[in-house]
Amino acid sequence: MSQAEVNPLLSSVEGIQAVLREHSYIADLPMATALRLVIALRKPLLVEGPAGVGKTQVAKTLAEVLDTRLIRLQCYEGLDTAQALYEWNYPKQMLHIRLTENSGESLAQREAEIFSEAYLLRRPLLEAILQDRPPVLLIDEIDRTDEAFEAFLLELLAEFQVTIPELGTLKARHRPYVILTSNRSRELSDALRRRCLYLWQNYPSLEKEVEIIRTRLPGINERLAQKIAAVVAHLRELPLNKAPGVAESLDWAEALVSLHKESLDMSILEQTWGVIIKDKDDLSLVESHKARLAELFA
Amino acid sequence: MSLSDFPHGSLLENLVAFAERLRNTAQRFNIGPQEIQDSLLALEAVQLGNLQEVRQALKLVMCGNLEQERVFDDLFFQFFLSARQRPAKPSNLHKATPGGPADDGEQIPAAQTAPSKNEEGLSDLTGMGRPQPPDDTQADWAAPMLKAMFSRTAGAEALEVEIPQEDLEAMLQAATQMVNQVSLGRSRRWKLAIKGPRFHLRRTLRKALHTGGDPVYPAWQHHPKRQPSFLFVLDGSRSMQEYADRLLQFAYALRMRCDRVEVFVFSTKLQRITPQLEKTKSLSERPRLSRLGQAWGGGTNIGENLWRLVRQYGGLIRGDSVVIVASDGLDTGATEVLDLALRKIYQRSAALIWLNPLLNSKDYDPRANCMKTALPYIDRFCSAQKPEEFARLTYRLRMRK
Repeated sequence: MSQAEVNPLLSSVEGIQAVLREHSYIADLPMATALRLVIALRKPLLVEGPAGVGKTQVAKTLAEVLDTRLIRLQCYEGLDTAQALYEWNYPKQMLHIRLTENSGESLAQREAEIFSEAYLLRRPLLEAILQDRPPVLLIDEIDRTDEAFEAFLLELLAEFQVTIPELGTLKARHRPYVILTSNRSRELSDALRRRCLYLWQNYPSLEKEVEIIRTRLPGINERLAQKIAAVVAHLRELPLNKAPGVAESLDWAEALVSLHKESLDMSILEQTWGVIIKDKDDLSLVESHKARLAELFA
Repeated sequence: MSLSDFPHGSLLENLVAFAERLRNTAQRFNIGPQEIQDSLLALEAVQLGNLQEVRQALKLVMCGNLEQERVFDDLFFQFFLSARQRPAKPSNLHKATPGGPADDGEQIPAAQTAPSKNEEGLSDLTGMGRPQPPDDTQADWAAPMLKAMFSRTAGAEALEVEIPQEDLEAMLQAATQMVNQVSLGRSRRWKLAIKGPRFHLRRTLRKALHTGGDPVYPAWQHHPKRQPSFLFVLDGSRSMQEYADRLLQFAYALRMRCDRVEVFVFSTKLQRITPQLEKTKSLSERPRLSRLGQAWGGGTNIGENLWRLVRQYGGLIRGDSVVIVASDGLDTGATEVLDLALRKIYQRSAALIWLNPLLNSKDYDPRANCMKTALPYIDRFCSAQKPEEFARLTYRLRMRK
């Protein structure tokens, strides 16, 4: 039995919020409702939003909550079925062909042998549907793949089955919990969207960000956490090439804690710019806004 | 909440009627029987007595993109609660994300911020840093309902823009020619080919079975050509109305001939119209553009709208993107925002083309504020009205990436 069936907390939105909080993930109502529906409907969830707002983290946390395996497929341009679904073990097949050359087996028999599961290399998607317990399948940054791969995913996301020409159609033993993330570097097809629940995840509010920082770093001074969140919120208002996400806030908070800083001022900010600003143009822009930042510390 | 409060007698009827309403909006919600069924299942999974959860659940199932997500709350409250509970006075209408990007979240640089705030709240357009829906508190759902009463979706203009039929065939040919002229080098992807630098192992092995395991007939792979994507941004303001038909026709032709095309129009607001320019099987079934609201026929706000494009749809501008801006550049606004937006577009795109119909005028000198700012970032500055002129837009155009 999976955690989703056993844990009564997972049968309500508030319960999910509470469980996620126990795992240091602060989920607002839209996210908690989305996860509730992922568990109840077993439909894939497409999460879109700017980089660094916790889209990937939600899949990791869900796997922890459900006490199941997280299988991750990191997408990139040129990703194809051989890397995402399966590949045949060619060297092993070649060896087998050589070894059975004089065995007297027919061509059909030999072909059936080398195209059996023993010669199949499972990639993340196949791995996900052949698990004995439903895993969490994270298809990260789906917008980086091309249209052909997206079209290929349709069968998997609708039917939870894949077709391998040599073996036939393999159906999922248990439907995985699927989470797809996208940074909107291209528009995904309507066909893919229709197969998913859709959630737009934005940067957190100041209060939520303070809460996230305090949950992840329980020992942090509250005033410091608030200042970090305020500075990061201000930076997100600037026209930066790469606005700092929640991940950067957490890294920065961790850096300040490890440097034993109890408060923030301009000199500390300048020493630790590199944790939150990661672009040369952005750095110049932020330096021109020092006066406004100084006001935040006052 | 009880069913008697809703427009129809049963939950299913309400959902079907609501879906029908959503399908007929400018955002064209893609809702069929499967989505209705999923909605019913979703409602079983949440507390029906909790309006926030109900709305969130339906939103997750019925929305497919950010544009739809943005207007869903308005439509939900209009449909389910329009006559039932109207608050006495407007309050909290534009409650900003505390500490987050300001109420508008659009992040127009300081010099431009003050005049850009308006009755609608730019945040509503961005998705980036816009106000959070007031859904974390159960008591606060009157605010979006109130917003719905004044929503642009409620009073969307009935104006329809038609794509002209004249010369459409020639325009389609021009679009094909233009797309084919773009050369972006090779992709990282491997694809089966007659000749190539790498073996296609699976094919080779299959062929080898017929020759006793010896790969006598190898199969090859190569890197296919990178396919360009196009972003067409059309100034639909009053001063461009004379030329807009032809430019829109070109945008439609481009969309018909290439899969990777995004089309935006702007006047005082920016609107993405790609979904409205759907591919059609026959040219006689040309799409009509409706509900363009403030994106058509008004004043011009080039800088802010291009900035909005960068902020909201910046991900669509990539190394394989050819960005085409069609505008006369008649904008008297401050140029800082335009400069910033064009710099970002220039940095991210493969090429930036600016179509200015005024270039055909004898005495035109592109030294007006706006064009003067734009010129350093433009890879090709030209005018196009005839199909053959559109066909040459990318002729020998050097791609920067």
